[in-house]
Amino acid sequence: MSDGHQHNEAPSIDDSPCSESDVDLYLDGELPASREADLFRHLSTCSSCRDCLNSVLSLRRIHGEEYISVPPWADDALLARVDKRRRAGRRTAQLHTNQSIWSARTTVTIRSVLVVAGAVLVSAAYLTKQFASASGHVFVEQEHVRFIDPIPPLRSEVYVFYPGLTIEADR
Amino acid sequence: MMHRDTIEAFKSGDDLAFVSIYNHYKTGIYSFCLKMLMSRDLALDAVQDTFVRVYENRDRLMNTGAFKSWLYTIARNQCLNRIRKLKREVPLDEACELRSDQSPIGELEKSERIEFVNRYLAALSPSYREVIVLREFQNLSYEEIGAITRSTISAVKSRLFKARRKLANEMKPAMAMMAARAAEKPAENESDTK
Ligand SMILES: [Zn+2]
Repeated sequence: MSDGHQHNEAPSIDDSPCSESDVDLYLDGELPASREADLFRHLSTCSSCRDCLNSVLSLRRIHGEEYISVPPWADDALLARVDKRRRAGRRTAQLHTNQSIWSARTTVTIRSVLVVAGAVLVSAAYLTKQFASASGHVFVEQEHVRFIDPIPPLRSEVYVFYPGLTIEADR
Repeated sequence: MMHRDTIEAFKSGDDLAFVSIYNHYKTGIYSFCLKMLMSRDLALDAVQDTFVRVYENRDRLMNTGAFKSWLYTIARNQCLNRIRKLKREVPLDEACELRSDQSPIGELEKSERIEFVNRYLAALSPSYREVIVLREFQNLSYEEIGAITRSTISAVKSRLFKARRKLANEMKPAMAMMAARAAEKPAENESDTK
């Protein structure tokens, strides 16, 4: 050894560096056959590598003796849980197909349609005014919107079409 | 090795395929969780959560060939979450309770040996324990362990090799004692191994 570090026991028998990873590769079946002889020579002099090899082999052997199995009640519990999820999933899927926003067909009252339409008009007028004053021009209301015909006596249906959305209103 | 068709069938919503996947992998996953958590109850709980997640996220599995790694990744996350929640290392006496209930009475020597191994496994950090368990007990390749632990192959090797050294150092005195005991009573050991 050139670094001056001296081993008191077994001096100069093992001049190869400690092939730690060779032990591991051997354990994993990855060591090329051509390096096995070197490894065994090293193992005969290096107790640290020998301990590592023995420990891992014991670990494997003892684990092999252990019988591990999932108890039947745990199988049942899992399958019950999965079944519950499956049912819940199916219910959610059903809700989705029934209530997709693009195919919804909802019955609303005429009154609520009027309220919404009114609110839209008021806010549109307000915004127009704001815009007008901001840009320095004065707009005169140019358009009167009549959005409601006289309500027929018995039943009317108002359909409001947005893409795919139909609102059907009774009177 | 699970047949690819079964995994494909599971992905496309076949519940029977799920049951067959569960039956194929449950022991391995349970064994992994048991050695990670050192508690039967925690391990069974983790196994259940793992398979429920697998069932619920079946459409997220892109590569059918990577199913095993995906499954172990989920199981590993379940274990690490529980270890984090416990915020403590598994105490040694709890590890000693980890006797396999199925082992026949009268094989005390065998359960002693199993307890002995569990004791030292439990004393390892989770990051060392997982590579030991995945490699030595689950027999997974470096590549598979890398995919599960999100590490490179060289990082897996380095961690595994260090974990083995650590384990060997810890086990060394007890190993010597056990070897001496085995030499003292060879007859009993012979009857034990049959
Ligand atoms: Zn060595």
